[in-house]
Amino acid sequence: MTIQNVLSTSSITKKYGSFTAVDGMSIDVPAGSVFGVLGPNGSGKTTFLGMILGIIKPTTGSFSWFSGSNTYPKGSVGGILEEPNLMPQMNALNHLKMTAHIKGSDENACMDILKRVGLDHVAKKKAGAFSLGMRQRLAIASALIGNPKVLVLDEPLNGLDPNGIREVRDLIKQLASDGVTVIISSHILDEIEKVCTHLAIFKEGHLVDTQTLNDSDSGDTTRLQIQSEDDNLLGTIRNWPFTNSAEQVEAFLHVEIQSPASASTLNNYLHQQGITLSHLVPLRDGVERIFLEKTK
Amino acid sequence: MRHAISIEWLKLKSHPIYFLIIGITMLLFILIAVQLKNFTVGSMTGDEINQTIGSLGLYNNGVILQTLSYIAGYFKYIVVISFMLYAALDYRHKMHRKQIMEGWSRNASYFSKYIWIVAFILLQTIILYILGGALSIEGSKSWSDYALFPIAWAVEFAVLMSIGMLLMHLTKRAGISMIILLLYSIIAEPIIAYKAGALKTVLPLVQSRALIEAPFQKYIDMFRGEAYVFAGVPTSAFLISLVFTALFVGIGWWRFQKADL
Repeated sequence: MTIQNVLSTSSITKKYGSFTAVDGMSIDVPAGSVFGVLGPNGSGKTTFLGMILGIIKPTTGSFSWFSGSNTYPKGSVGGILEEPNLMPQMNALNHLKMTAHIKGSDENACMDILKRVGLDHVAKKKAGAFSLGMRQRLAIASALIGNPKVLVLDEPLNGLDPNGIREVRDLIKQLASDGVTVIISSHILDEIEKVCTHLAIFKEGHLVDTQTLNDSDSGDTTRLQIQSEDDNLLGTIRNWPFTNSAEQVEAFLHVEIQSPASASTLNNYLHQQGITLSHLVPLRDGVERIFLEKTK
Repeated sequence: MRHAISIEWLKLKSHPIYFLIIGITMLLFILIAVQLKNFTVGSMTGDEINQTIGSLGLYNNGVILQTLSYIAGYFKYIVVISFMLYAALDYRHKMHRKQIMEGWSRNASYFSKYIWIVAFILLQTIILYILGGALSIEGSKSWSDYALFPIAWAVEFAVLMSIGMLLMHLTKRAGISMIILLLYSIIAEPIIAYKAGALKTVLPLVQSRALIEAPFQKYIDMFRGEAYVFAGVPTSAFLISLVFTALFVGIGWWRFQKADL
């Protein structure tokens, strides 16, 4: 089955004089994915996101939304770039009304969206009186107006306290489960790992790698982390015909098994051999390890 | 258009100060225009005549449209600067960026700023006609000769406004663009005009200022019963001013299309 891309960039480049901020990046963002954009400071993340959102003009190259042109249909993309763009003298509700007018959406839905991000009690308060976390949530609320198909969030966790981070993370997961594609950049690797299904790693304006973080399943193999009190675990696992590799990593055993075997068939097999597992979790490459390896 | 007006209305409601200044300026102009009929002729001629131009029947003539349009020109800097400060808020708070990310075209984002400017020009032009009509209600002489002067005021204002907006779009800052505008219009262009001779025709503010001749000599001539030469709105200056306005708005638009916001 072909996965439809919501965004495709083709050799997109941005130069400022002799400095190349983004150099010939070609990226496809699959529909329904949570697409993480990672990179150290100055790697071109914000410039890249600015170009796909239409506010930074590419020097060369092109991009297309929904297999169309460089511009997207009104209301189908919501975005935040760098800090929240708010008028300090304008209240929260009017900010959302303004966005509703731009997107041609129903103004009456604004209060519901404020409620969704937990700002309904300050709807009439000026944005200038908000904390950074509240500003960030208001900007996300603004981006959510019109039920966009894609949400582009540049460092949306900046300035949020742990509760705020959890709320935004849950919101992203909820949006993804609703079928919204999320393109997110963040330097909080742990958070990226918790929400992303795909990764693009930038370094000095170049795309150095793209990864699919599809849990532990990468095509024909599945990686698992298991633990048992039984001393025969390692030997039993190695004798199983679907086992590709098994190695002891501290208190756990990391196992790679071959399709059609799965975590449940492994568990059944070990149960039949009289071994009870006390720990069985899918294993995926840590984003931090991937990031450090690719950007060193 | 309806959405653009709604959006700009939400912004305006949050920043009433600029429009309060513009409103006070318009009110001040109306008060001065009404009070002008009490202006003594002696103060213009140097003679000891204490009669006012109103009581002498000089303020109920078509010349009043020229007078009001000329005086309105004195207030244009306050209005232009207020509009520049207001428009600069969109850069300061990155509203253009937000609007475009949310699906507005660059055209819509650029031209939405002109909604209140066009509304002000229309309103002030109508006020000039109404005020002129009200003040000269008993007189009907020469009205048709002077009917173009309020339009000339609109064009004169549009030239300065378009320069101000262009500077604001180029610098993206209200303060620096205001300083450049004042330095150019008050110091640089008059010096260039003085040195340039025939090249004055390519200076936008010189041309826009030439649209409405100072009317005061006409009052003296009328009072003395002397014939005066009627000078209407010069067509060449009118056309050149329109071209300059379109050019400045066009350059601003072109720059806005290309700019990283």
